Amino acid sequence: MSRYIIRRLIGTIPTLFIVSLLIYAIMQAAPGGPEQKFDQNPKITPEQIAAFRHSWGLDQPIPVQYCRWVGLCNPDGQGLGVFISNNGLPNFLPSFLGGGTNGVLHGDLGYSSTSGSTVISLIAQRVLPTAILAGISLLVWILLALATGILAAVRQYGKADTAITVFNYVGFSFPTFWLGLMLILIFSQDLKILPASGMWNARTVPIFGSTEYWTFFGKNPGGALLDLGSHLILPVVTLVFVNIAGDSRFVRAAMIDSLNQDFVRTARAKGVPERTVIFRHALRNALLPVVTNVAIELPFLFAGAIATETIFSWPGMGLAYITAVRTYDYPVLMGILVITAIFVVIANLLADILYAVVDPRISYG
Amino acid sequence: MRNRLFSMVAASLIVFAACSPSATTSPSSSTPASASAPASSESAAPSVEAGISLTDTKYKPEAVGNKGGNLVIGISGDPSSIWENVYDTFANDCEAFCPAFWGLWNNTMDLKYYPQLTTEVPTVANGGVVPKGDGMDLTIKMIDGAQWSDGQPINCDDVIYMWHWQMDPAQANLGNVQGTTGYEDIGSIDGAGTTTCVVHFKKVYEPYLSLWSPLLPAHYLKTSKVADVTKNLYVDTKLTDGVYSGPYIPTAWAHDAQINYIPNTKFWSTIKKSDPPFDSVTMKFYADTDTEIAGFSKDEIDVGLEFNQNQVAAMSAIDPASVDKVLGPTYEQHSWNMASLTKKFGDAGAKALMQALHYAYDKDAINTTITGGAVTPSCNFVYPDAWFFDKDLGPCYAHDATKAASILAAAGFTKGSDGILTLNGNKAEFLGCARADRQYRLDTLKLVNSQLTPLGIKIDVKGVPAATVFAGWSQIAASAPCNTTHGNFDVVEFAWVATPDPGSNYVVYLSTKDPSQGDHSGQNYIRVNNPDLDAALTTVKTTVDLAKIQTAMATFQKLYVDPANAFPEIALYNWTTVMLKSPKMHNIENNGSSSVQTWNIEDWWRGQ
Repeated sequence: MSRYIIRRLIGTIPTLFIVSLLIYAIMQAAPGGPEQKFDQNPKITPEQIAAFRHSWGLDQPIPVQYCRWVGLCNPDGQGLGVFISNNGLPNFLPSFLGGGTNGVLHGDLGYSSTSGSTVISLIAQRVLPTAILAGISLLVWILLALATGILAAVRQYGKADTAITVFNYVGFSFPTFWLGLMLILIFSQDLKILPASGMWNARTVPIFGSTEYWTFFGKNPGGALLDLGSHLILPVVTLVFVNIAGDSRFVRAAMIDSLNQDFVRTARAKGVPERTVIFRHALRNALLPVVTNVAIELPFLFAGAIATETIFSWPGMGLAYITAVRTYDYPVLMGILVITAIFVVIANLLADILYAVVDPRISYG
Repeated sequence: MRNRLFSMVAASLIVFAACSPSATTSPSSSTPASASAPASSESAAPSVEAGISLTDTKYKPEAVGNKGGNLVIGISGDPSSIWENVYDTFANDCEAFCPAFWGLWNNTMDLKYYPQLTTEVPTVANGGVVPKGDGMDLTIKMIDGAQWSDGQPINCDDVIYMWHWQMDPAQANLGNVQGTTGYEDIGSIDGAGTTTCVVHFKKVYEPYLSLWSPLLPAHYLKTSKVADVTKNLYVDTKLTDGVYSGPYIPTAWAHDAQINYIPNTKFWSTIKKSDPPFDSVTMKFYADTDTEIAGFSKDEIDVGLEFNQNQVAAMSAIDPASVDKVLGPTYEQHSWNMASLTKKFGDAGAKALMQALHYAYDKDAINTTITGGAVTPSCNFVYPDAWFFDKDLGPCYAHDATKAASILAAAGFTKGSDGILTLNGNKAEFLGCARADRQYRLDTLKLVNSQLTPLGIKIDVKGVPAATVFAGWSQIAASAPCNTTHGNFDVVEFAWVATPDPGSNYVVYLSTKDPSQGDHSGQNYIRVNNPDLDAALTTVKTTVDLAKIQTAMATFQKLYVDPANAFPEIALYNWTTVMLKSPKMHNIENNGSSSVQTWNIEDWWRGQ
């Protein structure tokens, strides 16, 4: 197994390289760029725009821009010297070995072209809010998907199965942004019982993640959790309602397949209680594809739900991504997309590993 | 927005360029109070025109009746940085900036000027502006004893340093909104270390009141190289390290969530000389206007900003007393390409077509269908509160399709078998353009097409990216359809913003500012070429006589409004700027411009 993991990890390097290259190429091919924000400003001269592009390296050929972004090329280098750091060694080497300091290889994702903040600090601010929203949503919808999938499978073609199927398809059909807006209109604007957006009450609670917030949390953990919980309800409901369908149907199909196996028939023939047949025998085997499916959904914890975070002004990765798209903030976009790609690759590896863990018949040795 | 995904209809604001070099000198002598340029080489005594004032505002704030608490302001959209007002697209994007920085002067909600870090608005009438040969001297009287938030004095040192700072070549890399415009005309500034600065302009700079807006602290700017200023100064993760002049200092910024402010004690003690009405201010960001409206209903915010007519329908459940609507200076308009029309139909035919179009547009139907009746149809580009607005123009001309048809027939247009008019072998079929992400504009063009179809005029509507519509001459292919700079359109819809400076029309309507000519920096997208208009614009740009400016602007407005003049721009309607405000809030004056609604935040207070 360990050799398999190492082999897979090594294999992720070219995968990530190709993915990052494709993302960069697509982004460059798309119309617009960081200088787009000057389009509607009559005071900006073409010379100023050219100078802006030069200062951000946007006037360089795309391969050069990519090379600098990755960290293979030295921004100060010329000609073949671009591959050599200011210390005279290959730029891709770690800085403590005399390599460069720029680029992804050296942990530098650059600066936001709109705010000037480092991309890493911007991402760091957003990860926890997304993890909270996505993590809770993922947990809730998986549990509900298991429950509804099992019930639907056990009561196959019955009223419960039909009701759950209809519920799943209705939920699946709802556009996320529409559902979110409807929930806001009903529960915030009309009934006034839940917050309209955000992650905390701007009047009474400090900014989440700040020193003041943790002080507040320490003094009043119940209040802080209640505030956070009240802000989570609507976005979580939105995410669960829309996403539960796929996993629920998956569980149902896996359970039906499992319940039709010989070992289940044998268990029943032996007089094993039906509850034990379902949860200890059938479910255990049905979990195999479900677990791997869930593992593939883990990158969601980082990337977030773009539409939901946007509608609810949840200050997470999804909203950061859409803001970066809107403002042509290429460094931030690349940072988010590449880190997401890393998570996807790792999640797939994790899924494969879990596959072997859950099913002892599978071996990668 | 920013569109702005978080705003259903964000502005596609194009701010008038504020300046261009002054043209010929004016025959008049130095005269009255004006934000426009004194340009004459003569030095006769000023004469004040009765009834024309730049500072006589209707704004009269009531005294603060209650203090304390936290003010929460809702905004749809998150500014990208504190630098947005200096380094971003729009000339006066106030949002995060207005509470923290003051300029030397500012505009009220009725487009008058009032002093902020100064004791008076300098004009020719009060001796603050004095023509000197080809140039002029501007005297800035700053508030004695005013201090930055760190206790350093605000004085002419900051004015002088900021002049040099704006002129630094490294600014070019940062896309400074103001750029060197205006500052490049300054020869020297006297008064270092004092609060009375005399700015010696080498040549007349008419919109001088737009400079030093905001004023930035010299001692703080000096701590960073210009090229790195956005990375080192006023960084959003270290806001408390910054130096501010405005009533409230930002202390923390959670992007896409909120900005927190606390009172700037130095402002309140040395400039305003009173106590702050609030203990803290929070600017809370919403992803879109619907959510912001819901947040206001839930009492999450005291004031909701950046709404316009497109959100009025969504506010139906809110107490009307909380919905503040004013006519905005932004106006939606159709720009017709006169060069394209002339090429097709000749001078006479193009003129007749434009005359007919003015009568053919049913603006009331546009208002009803597109905006649900939430705006005010208009035919004038000048904001009614502007001092140079021609009150004698009378009501707008009425929609008259019959008259339009007769004009076209008299000009020789005939309908072909396809129902489309033809003249000189060319069909009256036109390319109509708008930003693809502004569906209401595409809908408006289609509606206008349906109004023109019975007359035999057809508009083929095309939506394109914003970058295509407004890309500069060298930024886009010469043949790119719907690009205004290259003139690859027949009619395009976007919004202009009427500014308090009448001279700002110069670069937009002067015949030599056709972007197809010269250095291609002009904004005369409609390719209008009218000698009377050129004369009026030149007068506005080169005289300080308010009466003459007013007369020249009246000439301009008549040319614009009267269909007989066939002006190739048709104003459709003024936007309605909407604010939501809690009934407990006082001194909130919706100023029409959605980007500066916090212009008087220092006067806001909340009752019990």
